[in-house]
Amino acid sequence: MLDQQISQPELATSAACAMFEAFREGLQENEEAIRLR
Amino acid sequence: MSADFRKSDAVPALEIRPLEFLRKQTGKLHAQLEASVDLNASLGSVSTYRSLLYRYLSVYRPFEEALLSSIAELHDATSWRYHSRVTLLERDLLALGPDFRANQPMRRPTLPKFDNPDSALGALYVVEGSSLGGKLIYREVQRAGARRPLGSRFLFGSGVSNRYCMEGIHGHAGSADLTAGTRHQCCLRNV
Repeated sequence: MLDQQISQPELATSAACAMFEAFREGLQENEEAIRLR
Repeated sequence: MSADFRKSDAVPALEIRPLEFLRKQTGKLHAQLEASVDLNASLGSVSTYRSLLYRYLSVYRPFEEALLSSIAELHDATSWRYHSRVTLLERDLLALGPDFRANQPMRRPTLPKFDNPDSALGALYVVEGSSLGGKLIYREVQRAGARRPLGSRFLFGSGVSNRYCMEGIHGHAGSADLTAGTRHQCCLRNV
């Protein structure tokens, strides 16, 4: 489980935040791009 | 580091389990992401569903490319096995039929750097949680007695579980609108 695997929670959290932002960019901003085609 | 993760908001990491720390620190972003996607609209027709898959592909394709370069180190450190979603998305889009968007460029999102196992695990926490949300919708469709719809490998999961059970990884992984499953069933059965 992640509790045993993560040794530096701050690093994991920073990456998780960036990943949520990447999903928002990809899902939301590309929706607009597709709509305009 | 994301602007939404500030030291002043941080819970001291050593006082709680890493997973709980992750959940608390990313809860706001998780909720914002869910609110930004109109799942009911995306599952309302084949066209909007296909668009949703393309948008997921715009994230998963670069994500998996970046992850591949660090997966060996990650595997050594954690015994994690990652199952490709890109393959599932491509199969689903193929099943739904050709579309002019297939060769159109899409915005490439900014991804975290996977230069250490903890960063890769943090990103996988988000990806696996997203997968769980799709499986919850699938269960709803199953309860409605529907067969597996066409082009649903990605959203409903590959049927392959990670070596480590991810159940419960997100406290609100099931907060996606489950009624969307029924709509999905309706539109995709007619493909």
